[in-house]
Amino acid sequence: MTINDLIALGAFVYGYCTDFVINLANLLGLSYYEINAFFFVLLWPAVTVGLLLVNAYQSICLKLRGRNAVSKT
Amino acid sequence: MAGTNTYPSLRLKLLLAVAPFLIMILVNEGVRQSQTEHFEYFNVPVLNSKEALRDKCSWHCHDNTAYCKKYHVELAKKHFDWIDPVYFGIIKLLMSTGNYGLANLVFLVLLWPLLMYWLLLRAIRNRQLLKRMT
Repeated sequence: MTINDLIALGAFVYGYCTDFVINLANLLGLSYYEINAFFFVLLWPAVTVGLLLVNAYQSICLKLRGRNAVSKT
Repeated sequence: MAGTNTYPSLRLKLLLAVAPFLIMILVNEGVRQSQTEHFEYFNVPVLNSKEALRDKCSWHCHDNTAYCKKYHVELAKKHFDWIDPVYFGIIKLLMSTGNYGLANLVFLVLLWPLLMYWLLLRAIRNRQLLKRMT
């Protein structure tokens, strides 16, 4: 695979993803701007922050339970 | 089905990884079925026109956000004041790398989804570990 093939593949993927946003907007009766805003301004940041918080909470619970299990033995 | 030490199972991992791409392919290929015209954008075959259309979005909305906001946005009209700084902030950040298209692919198609995927798998695994401890 040459560098030109990689550039062509990247351009195709970029085009396909952008087409998806345009198509989704037209199918849902929304706009390209709104779909992008929904994904990248609302949904993804919220999911990322939510998952970070869940992971942090679970890590604390695991540590505490691990400590309790050790102290019981 | 799920191995005792390998939760989430490989099947679940694959499903979570592939599902968003499957949805994208379903939508795009569904639209392609009803299309009679073929479009190109900078020599790349695409599904939508680059013409400015008043009744629906096209690649013109990708190039000209002001046009999209003026003619196509209804729902988010009241929220421009807080959406725009983040929306255009992300675009500026990607443009500042010097290669907007590549930065878009690396951050929005690869790295950010990978981060969410990794966090989701960790959360599922941790949940399983916590269940076993109770």
